[in-house]
Amino acid sequence: MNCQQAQELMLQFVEHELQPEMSAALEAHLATCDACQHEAADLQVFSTGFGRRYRADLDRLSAPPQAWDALQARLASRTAPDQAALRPRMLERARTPTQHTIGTQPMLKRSSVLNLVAFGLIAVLVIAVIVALMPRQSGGGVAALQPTDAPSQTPSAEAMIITVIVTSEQGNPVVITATPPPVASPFETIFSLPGYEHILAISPDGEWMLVSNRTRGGPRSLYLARIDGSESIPLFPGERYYKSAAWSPNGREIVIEMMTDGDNVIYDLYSYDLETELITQLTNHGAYETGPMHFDSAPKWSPDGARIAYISQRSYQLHLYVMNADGSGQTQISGDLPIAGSFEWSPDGSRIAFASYDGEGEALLDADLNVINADGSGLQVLAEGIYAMGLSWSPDSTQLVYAQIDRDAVNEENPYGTANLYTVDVATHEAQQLTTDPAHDAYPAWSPDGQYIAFTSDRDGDHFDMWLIRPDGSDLRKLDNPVGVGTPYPYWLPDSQSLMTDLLIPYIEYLFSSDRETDIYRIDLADFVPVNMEP
Amino acid sequence: MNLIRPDQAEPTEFAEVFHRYKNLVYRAAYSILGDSADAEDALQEVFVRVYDSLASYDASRGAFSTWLYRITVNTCLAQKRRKRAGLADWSDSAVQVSFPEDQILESAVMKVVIGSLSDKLRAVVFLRYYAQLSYTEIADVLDIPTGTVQSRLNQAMTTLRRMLGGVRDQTARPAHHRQNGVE
Repeated sequence: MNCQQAQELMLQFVEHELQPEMSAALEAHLATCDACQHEAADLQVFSTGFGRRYRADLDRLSAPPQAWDALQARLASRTAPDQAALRPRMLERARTPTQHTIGTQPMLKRSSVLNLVAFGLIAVLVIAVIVALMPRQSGGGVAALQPTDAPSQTPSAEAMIITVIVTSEQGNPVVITATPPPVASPFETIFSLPGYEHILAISPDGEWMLVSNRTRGGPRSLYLARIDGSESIPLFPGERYYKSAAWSPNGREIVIEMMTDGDNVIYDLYSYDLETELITQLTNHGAYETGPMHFDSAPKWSPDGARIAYISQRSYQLHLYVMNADGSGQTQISGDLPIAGSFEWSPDGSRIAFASYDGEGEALLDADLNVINADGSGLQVLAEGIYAMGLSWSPDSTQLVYAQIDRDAVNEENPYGTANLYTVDVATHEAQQLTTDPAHDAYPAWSPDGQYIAFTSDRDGDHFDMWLIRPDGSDLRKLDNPVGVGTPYPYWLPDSQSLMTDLLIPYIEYLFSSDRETDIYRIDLADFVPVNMEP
Repeated sequence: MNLIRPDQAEPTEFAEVFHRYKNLVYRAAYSILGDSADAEDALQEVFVRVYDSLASYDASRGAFSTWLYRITVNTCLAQKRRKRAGLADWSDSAVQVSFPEDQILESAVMKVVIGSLSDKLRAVVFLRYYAQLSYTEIADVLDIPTGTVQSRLNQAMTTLRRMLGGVRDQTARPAHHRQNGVE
């Protein structure tokens, strides 16, 4: 090796980036060449010193504080339909944030007022259009219309009618009537704060709920709230993020998925003793490896309270784990089979049902339904091609209800098909179709008394309402989603007479409506309206 | 309720990705573009692209950071090309870089990097000396041969040494520790 060749490799050499054999050759040259030896020494000092100064300089720079808001605005300013077309509807639902409000203002009133205001604006627009379309006068001016009365509402048998009477310049009255959107709904707002609220857990006695609140871009704050909204207690204030939680069957502890280190997006599970107020870290993910998202997530207590099942994501692999309630004995029970979404303990505590993903198709839309013993033995596949989100056991642990994707229903409107509810007998593997509407039926939840299955569906319009059906397919009932957006997710209260619900807002909605709010609502079984089914 | 995405980021994660990486991306953009306003534009553009393609990010094909660096560098270089369009004589190694009055950086090191290196060289310098990637990783990010990374870094360091002759780190070890002196 001559000096010129040595010079070319010098930087790599002093930065320990040179291949070993080349490195040896260069060292042999250095041993005989004082000039190159000095050059290497100098270069090394320079490289090290430069790197240090350069890093220190750049470390003083931070992204501008307004960058997040600017990004949101920029994303929102793009044409929404193009983006929406990329995302299947079911995926949007699953993609939504996990959060929800403490409020004294019932959502019902607020939305009524807003709807009326919105309707008023529409009426004004209608007038403007009429004005624009009116024949021009000889003078070239446009006839001006002035409302002569404030909009008046007249109750009618069918719906409210809004009447606006305007008068043209010629004095001819013009009467415009229209029907406002329906607003009446028994959704009762229980918890309302600015931003989004979600139910993370409900206490076994049905008296309390654990609620997370989040404003756009901000951390999620956590509240313990009375189920009737009469009281709320903030938990763990500070810059933390919460995603999921579960209440122990004896009501004393909650286990929470929490991110405490904002620089490293790692979620671990912590238990919180409601009596001693002691927090114990149960899982410890360590440093992230290949990506920014690492979770120990979605904890669920076994019915006897001895164990906790959860999902662990490490290096983009999602697996089902079970540990003792004190965090010991963390065991991956599903082998190499990745979990795709939901899982649920059977009410008798013997088994866990979970959705798995074999790598074919979309993880959320082509999942398999499995049951496995809590020790990892006895894996059985009960159904294939299911929607991975939302599984529910019958209270007697003999059946499961889930949503099955119908790929044959793929068309322009439903690029990923439709979904119907099915029940399956865990012993015989015999499945039975429960709903048949060509729509998206999802998130089934069996009532604790076994009488009804609550679910969410967009079969009746372009938004999701809450529905009830008997496990034998009879007695279909509906309750309008008063907000008209989002997907109401059913949580039964122990008495089986009422449900709590929050709204999952589709990703696109979430990004494109900065002022959108969701709350937590309570609905009563008695408020559902029976639907006449086809004979 | 499980809202776990096996292969795609839910919105809260997009926010988390943003907040986790915004400074890194901004610093990369600044060090390549040499201008805080341009860096801010690039930051926006990078995350719009991340937002659009997060779902298609394939972990099996490389680390997330590699993917993000690639988007960042490509975005910055494309932005530079757009700005340069129509300026035929604008040399790749041009020194004409603006120094805004509100420049946060007054250090000689940063000024020389921005003022004396082309944007392509600034990109490899960032990846090597800030991100501290190996030559192979830089080659992967930029999709160029390792030999090209080596020659670009040689070129950059030769220029920088000439411009910054006096830059020495007082805490650096004496020269004879060359086998293990690099920290």
